[in-house]
Amino acid sequence: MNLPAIAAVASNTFKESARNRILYAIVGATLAACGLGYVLAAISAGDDPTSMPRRLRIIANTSLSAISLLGTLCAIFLGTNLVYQEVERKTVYTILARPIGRGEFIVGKFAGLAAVVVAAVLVMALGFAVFYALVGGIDALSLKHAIAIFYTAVELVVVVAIALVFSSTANPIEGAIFAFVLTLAGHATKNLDALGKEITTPHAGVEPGALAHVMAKVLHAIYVVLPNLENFNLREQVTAEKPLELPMPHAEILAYAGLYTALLLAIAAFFFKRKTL
Amino acid sequence: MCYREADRAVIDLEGITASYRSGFARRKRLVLDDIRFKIPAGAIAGYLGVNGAGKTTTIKLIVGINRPDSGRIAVAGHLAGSNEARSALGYLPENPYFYEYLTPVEALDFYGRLSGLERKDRQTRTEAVLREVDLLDAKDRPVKEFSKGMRQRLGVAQAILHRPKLLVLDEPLTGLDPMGRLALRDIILRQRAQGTTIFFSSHILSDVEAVCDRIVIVDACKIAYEGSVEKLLEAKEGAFRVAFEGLAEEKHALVAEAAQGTVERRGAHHEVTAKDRASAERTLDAVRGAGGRLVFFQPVGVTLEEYFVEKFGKGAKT
Repeated sequence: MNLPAIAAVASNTFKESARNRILYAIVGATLAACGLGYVLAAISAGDDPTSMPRRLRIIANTSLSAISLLGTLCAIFLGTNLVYQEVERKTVYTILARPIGRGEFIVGKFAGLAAVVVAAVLVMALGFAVFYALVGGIDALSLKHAIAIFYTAVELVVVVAIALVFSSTANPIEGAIFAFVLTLAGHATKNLDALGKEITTPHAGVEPGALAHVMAKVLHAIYVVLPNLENFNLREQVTAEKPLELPMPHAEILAYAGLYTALLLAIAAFFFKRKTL
Repeated sequence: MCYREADRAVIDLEGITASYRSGFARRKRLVLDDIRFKIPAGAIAGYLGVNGAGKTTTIKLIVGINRPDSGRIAVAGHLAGSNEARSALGYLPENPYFYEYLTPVEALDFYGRLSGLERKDRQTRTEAVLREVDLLDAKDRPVKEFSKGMRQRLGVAQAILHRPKLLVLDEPLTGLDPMGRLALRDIILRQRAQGTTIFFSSHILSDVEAVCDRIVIVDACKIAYEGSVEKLLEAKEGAFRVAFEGLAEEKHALVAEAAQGTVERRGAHHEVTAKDRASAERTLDAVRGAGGRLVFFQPVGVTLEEYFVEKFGKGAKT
């Protein structure tokens, strides 16, 4: 691994992506959504002190959903353009003529965009914190909020890797569609697995046939192969009165994110290496 | 086996075959077929061919951007595409593109980092190469404000930044005005004087003829010629100019017929161009036979451009 070259590509990608107007539009829209949550809280719950938990819940729900949804759009739109644009603009030629492999180039591009997306999440989180503190005071913010936002950032890093796979293989419009579908599927994988279990459960004394078992195995395989993005979704628990319930220990969630990202980068590098430039 | 540096081939292609897949059916199209040539150290070599002959494809294979279907390419003794080979070469693509928001200093710092230069060396080399390509005054302007000629010079600057043994330039002179072409030719000659081997493709054959000591011509997927410009043109006999005087106008038709050309007045004498030696000798006989006096008899050398157009013009794809 040529780490200095990867770092050079990453820092250049960071500078380039940080200038993208789409990024600012999305961050601006998210901050506006946080503001909208503040207004909605005031309209729906009034300023009665007893309505405080409800007002805070509305702000948290609106803001954290906006950070997740608009952050996903940001990761997909910037990610699917990332490699494709380098090839279209031919800037990639002078880079790949240097001692840097195509796989290292992919890793550098990923690292640069992932850093931009994490920085964007930090700015959005700051906006959320300001509106939240305006209503509930600074003490209303808790570690639960920080953890939920941290895992949202981790999820978006995985989404960047998904987008990068399609940036290496398709044009930005096709890539964005595929990446968006895969991201949506990543939030529904548990339903697929549950469906598999459902169709193999005996009903009214009738044992399901062999086909149902085959289908269940296929659904389980899809569940395993697709990214399980719900592992990173703690947003709905933030407003609950009880402590956070993690789907698995922190180390396992992070290991899952790291391994899945590494796998996606390997796939992106595989396709990019096969591409004739 | 021990080589003198000057004897060693800096570029060595053996049996290179390359193809592209295109269209919905991903049909294979052969671009290069069993290409083989060598470029010795210290040479300035021109790579010629009509549009679509495979020049850029060959260059991308040498640089290591793409891989051939079969065959072997060595760059400075290393397998093309290896980090050693890439470190040994500098590459200027056709119409070089840069990140528009970067200044030349920032762009060169980026390329220096990719090449593994230390920070201090990057700063020193950036200053030196910007001076070399005459861009020092524009070092803090964003690339988006640059003209075509300035981009081309920045492209050369990034290519020579890490002091490569080999410079590979794809159509470096295309689109430049005469002053820009002259400046780039000077840079190429200065790089050679410093010991760099230069390999470049071009459509501007007068420039190729002026600076190259070696040319390689690719035609219909194969190498059509490899060697010196002089040797190529020696083999091709040129025309002859015959100037005469003291011949009545009605006799000019005889001379024109012998020369298979047109007699034209040039000041005090008349002149005709005979297309080859045999016609020139018939023209001399005709002039003398009709009572005229010879003013001069001069061979006209064939330029590379004339040779190229005659030999490959019909196959040109535009």
